[in-house]
Amino acid sequence: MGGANDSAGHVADHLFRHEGAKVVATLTAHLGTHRLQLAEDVVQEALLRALQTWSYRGVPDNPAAWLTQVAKNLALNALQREQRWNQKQDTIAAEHARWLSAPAQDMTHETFADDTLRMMFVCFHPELAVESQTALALRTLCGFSPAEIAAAFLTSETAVAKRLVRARQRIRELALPFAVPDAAELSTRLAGVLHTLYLLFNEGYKASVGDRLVREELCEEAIRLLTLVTQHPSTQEPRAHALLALMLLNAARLDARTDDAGNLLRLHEQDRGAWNKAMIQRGILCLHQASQGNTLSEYHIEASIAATHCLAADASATDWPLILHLYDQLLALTGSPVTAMNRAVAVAKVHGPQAGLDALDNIANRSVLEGNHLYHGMRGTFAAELGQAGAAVAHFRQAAKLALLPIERDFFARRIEECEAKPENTGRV
Amino acid sequence: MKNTPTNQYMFLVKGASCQDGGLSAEQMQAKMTEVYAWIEGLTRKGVMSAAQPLTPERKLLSGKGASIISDGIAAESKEAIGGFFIVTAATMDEAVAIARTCPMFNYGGQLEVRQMARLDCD
Repeated sequence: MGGANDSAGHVADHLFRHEGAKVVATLTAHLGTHRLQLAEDVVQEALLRALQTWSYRGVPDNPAAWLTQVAKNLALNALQREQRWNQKQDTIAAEHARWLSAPAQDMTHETFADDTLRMMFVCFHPELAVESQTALALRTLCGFSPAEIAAAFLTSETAVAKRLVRARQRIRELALPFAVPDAAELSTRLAGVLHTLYLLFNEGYKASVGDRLVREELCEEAIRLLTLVTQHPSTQEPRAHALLALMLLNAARLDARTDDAGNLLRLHEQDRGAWNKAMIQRGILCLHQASQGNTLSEYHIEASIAATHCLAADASATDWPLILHLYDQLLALTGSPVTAMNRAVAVAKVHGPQAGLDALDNIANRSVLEGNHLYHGMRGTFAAELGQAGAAVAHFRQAAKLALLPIERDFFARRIEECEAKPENTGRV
Repeated sequence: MKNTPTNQYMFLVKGASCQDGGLSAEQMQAKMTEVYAWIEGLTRKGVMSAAQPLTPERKLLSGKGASIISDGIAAESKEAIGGFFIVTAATMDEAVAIARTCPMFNYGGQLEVRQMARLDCD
């Protein structure tokens, strides 16, 4: 005892959350996905015992083994109580009892990584609703409490608890296997896993709603889980590396997006010295790994766009023609109006604000963007650059009206002030 | 060092785990880190000589020939003892001053401070 923790300050960040989640995965691996609730309950109890013991004695050398042992004992007790009522499953019960009463010291990093990866394929199963997938992942793979998940998604704890109950029920009904899918299914299932991790990351990345710390942790968690995917022989595909690159290159700039007062900053206003260089390097490395092979996913292109921003020494050195070229490719791949909207920024940087406005006007299914505050913000920016202050103000007002977050409304309010401070340039329209 | 008499005091920890059931993993870790840092600080100074948690299981024996065995009060009770510390201090006041720095009070805990009886006579 105490060896891993000569100073209390040395306790790994999120140790309880992460080690607890590992043990949930391992217990579920042995007891079956229909026992997910039991696994979570005994791990919660094991963490409480850890709190009680480690507070006095420090963290043991192998906290995961300690927690696994305690959780296994608790699970064995619970199952033995249950078994009196259910004598039918003799052989399965005996097998469970054998594993649960064996010592937990044989748990290695690889075992835990295997189990966590398989747990990911359960949590991100396409039969579960996306909100259930993300809530369940945060609960079981990351160890967040329902209250913390609620804070991240700006919803109520009860709503999160309901989602979790439904998800576990659905897993039982479908008798989901605790396994990495076989080769035939792997490609589509991996796409689903990557997509939900992408959503999880974006949830944390979009301007701070709710608890900021929890939201930053969403980004960290998505990166941690995806790193596991990229390290595992069965799932380390180029598109997984590409998505990891994308996340790292965006997360590296997370802190620089707001000033000390919490105001949103535009790209050219950000302090590039505050970007996380180590994370950018890791992202670029991932992008290199992603380019081994001949697949090109949207993640590849999005990561390349992020890399182009990260590698520019300052805003004026940004290679906008390259970014525009990448957006052209991305648009050809996705056809999404949101991609077309983001492309308009690059168009304006290369060909001027009028070309940006034209690009927005030429989006085929533009009507879906009318309710998007960023769309109106962009129109406002282009109009302001053209000296059309009146039109710009109208667009910024519309953007502020549609924005959900105070931080975004403040941002548009500042743009409106800027426009009103400048004389209208009526000469050229 | 005869003129700086020292005594040993036992701090009995009560009720600190009452509300732990509602803590998230992250909150549990924060509490653990805070309490352990306190213990470690006092241990470094040579003030604390023992810090021992107790498991929740409890049997109360009584009656002639220990004929009555019960589970006693529940572990969740405010009266249940979760562990103890042994610290060195000159006086009860000094021991109380040390006890007041314990972070367990932020978590609904109580400390009972008792001087350990001395067998020497100086």
